[in-house]
Amino acid sequence: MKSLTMLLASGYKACNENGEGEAIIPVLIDPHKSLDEFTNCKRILDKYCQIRSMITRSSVLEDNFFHTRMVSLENMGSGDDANPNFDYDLRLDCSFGEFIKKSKLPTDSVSQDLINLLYSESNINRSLAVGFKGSPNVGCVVLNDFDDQSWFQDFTSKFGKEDRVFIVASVFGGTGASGFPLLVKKIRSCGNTYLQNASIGAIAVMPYFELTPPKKEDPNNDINSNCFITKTKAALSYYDRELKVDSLYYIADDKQQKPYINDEEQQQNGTHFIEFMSATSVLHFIKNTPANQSKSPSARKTEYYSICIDKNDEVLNWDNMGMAHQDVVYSLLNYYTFTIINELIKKEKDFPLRKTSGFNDSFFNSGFFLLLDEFNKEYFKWLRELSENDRAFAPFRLNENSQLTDFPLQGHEFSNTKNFLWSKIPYGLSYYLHEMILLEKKYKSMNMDNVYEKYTEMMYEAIDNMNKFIK
Amino acid sequence: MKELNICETGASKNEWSSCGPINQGMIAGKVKDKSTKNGKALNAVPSPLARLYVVNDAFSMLTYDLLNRTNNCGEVYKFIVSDCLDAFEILYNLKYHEDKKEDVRVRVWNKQKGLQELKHVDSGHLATSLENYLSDNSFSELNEFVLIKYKNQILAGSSPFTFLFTTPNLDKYEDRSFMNQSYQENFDLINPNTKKKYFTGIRLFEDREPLFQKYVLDIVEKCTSDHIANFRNYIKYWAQRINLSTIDSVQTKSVVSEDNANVFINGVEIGKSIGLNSMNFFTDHLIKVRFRIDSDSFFCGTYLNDKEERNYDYLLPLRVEALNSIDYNTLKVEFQESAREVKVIITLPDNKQKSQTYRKQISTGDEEEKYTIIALEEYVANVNLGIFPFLQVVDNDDKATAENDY
Repeated sequence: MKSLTMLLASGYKACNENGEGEAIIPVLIDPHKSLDEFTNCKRILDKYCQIRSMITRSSVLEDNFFHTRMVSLENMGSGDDANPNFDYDLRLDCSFGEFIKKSKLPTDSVSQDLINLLYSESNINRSLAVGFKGSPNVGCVVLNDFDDQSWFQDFTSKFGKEDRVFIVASVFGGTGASGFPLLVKKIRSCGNTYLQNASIGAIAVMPYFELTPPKKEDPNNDINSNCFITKTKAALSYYDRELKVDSLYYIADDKQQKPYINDEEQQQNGTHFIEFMSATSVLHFIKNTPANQSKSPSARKTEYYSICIDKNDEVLNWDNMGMAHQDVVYSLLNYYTFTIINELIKKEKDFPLRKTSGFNDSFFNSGFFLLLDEFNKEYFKWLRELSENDRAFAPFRLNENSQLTDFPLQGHEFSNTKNFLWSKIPYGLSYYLHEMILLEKKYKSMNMDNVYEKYTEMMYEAIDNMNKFIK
Repeated sequence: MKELNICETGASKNEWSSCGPINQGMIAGKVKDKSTKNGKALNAVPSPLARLYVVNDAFSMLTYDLLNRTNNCGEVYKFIVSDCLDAFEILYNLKYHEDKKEDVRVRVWNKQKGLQELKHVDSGHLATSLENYLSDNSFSELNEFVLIKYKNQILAGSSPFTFLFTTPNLDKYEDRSFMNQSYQENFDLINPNTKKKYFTGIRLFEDREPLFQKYVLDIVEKCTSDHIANFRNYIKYWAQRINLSTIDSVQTKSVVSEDNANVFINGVEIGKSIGLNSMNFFTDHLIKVRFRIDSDSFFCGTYLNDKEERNYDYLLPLRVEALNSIDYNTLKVEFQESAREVKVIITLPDNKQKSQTYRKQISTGDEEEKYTIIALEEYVANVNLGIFPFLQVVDNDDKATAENDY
């Protein structure tokens, strides 16, 4: 979800098969609420929505960063995108046995025996406060009361005719693996006919990292990455038999050399390239799987998708990933360029647009920029995590100090062959500032009231005008 | 080009492109386990009935390995198969356990009544969930689960895929100890054929007694359900190689549940072995004593090509349950000796013969080595054996009295 947010922030568009922009309504289902990564993801989503709401005049935005609308389920239809609530309280502070009220059954009842047959004692005694700890057989029961939960009721009541569903879930873990097939079941049997017949896409995220071996002295440590493949095999086999969606995307990787620290409380694992690639599946689904289906779900055939990279290298970049990935990387490059220019431009006291377009100190000190700066820091952190992970996704020269002395695309120099003038001047900020000056006339004629929109859109175009020569 | 997938599906573009589904065949054939020996890997299926799917997959993977001479199936899955067969063996040996008054119980969870009971427990989360998953294709015809319990511990239940599946409480750590402490400490049901606790070692179908193999094969052949395809393929694979066609069907009597109903699984009535021909007659070892036993006072075997100077005898290598089931007056036991082994031939009242060959012990003291001769003269310094009593109690007519029924 974080990678998808960053990709959308870069201006990459979620367009349907007719090229029309679509909105995305993320629903995060995770009972492990204390997890930093979970709260961090929600914070990034909040910021995305707030920033977007400040740079848009309407729900439709021209070519710009944050082009795609993301809105919380709760705020759908309210027109208030700025104050999203992605937080549905799914936390349960009890054990699985308490949840199913096992102790209320007579001790020697056959139903007690059946429960003990289907679940191990450790399953039954496990606290649900930290998620399902790699036990989808537990999770699917706990999550089974989707129907009674406010988010699902919101979801079914607001789901409309042309809407589609996409489920992102790891199949070797706990919560995702539990919720994925269950959600499909619930959708297919809910009361909303549009939802019942909706196009459903899903990505089955399979093992792409390893964990340090669990400590022997910790009997409660249930996560052992040696089991990931075994778990995946079991899950895929089940999906093969029982799961029916319209589009199923597969992804996995075996390149990791350095395992993550096995700490399920913290799970301080940096963003991984596979997570980024998974995010692109959402956009592929929106573009390729039509919302309108002529056949009933049971009569429809599942389309399966997989993805390749050109070279099986440990570090991936613009050149070795493959041509088809370059569109996505290009968007990220533009936003990364934007984050640097955004820092540098504040110090350019002689920049003429300060006076002529209102891009002055009070503009740069506004709440919008505070918000944008915070988001951009997350963006930089996200890129750095990707570049430091195994396998690394490192297409950019990442510069902590926001310098623009080298073209940010790793292994490439800026070469504007169409404009002879630029070839005499070293690459840097001036390229982009000059382009903005050239664009100002066009933007003035558009009479844009929203100065933040004007700034980001002008910046988007200027950066694209310069960077596109890499293509 | 490198596909970012768990196995190659045929995709060859560096954008999302169509590929085939990852199906069970590909999983079994192309995805190798990472030496998984830990039972914690077995809960990945998002269904309360996860366990049944996992056991089914274990049979599928093992059969794939057998057919393709691969070794993709991790030890944990082999244990699952072995445990499932152990559950079968409990039913096979049920009469033995009942005769020994061992608390093996067969119970039935009826879907309608059971769901009702679960629904009465507050919110009925599990009932709703179970009801939901029991509507899946594979379970649509299922009306009950047959449960096997020993003392207060549940061991196994019925499955539409594999007839039986075991509880995850019997899963093991890498050192093969049960992950469940209570099972580790308290489970003590001994398999009469192995003299070891059930569920404690990997014994695949080919490692089991032919009569038991025949028993399982007969059950499989009576079942017409497509859901048992993986299980059937596995059993049939071995049935063709072991040649069970020469073995008579096992004489059985219906397994009866606590509710006094005959037990059916997947439409097949399940029996427990009762016939002599299904009995394992022979003890694991043949004991040779360094004196001749008085055949006038004791029931002894006869020797083919016996020599007058023979100064030793063999104790009858018959199990207690065999002796309890046969009238020894109609029994004929013969020893056929050769340089390295002794063949024991039993002729049953119906003239059918059973035989077992015992080899001279090579590595003394190895308890694992079955069907060897233990010659007590080799232990003369430490061990000897007497036949008790030496006296026969007779009546006034010199005939043995009932007191001799020791």
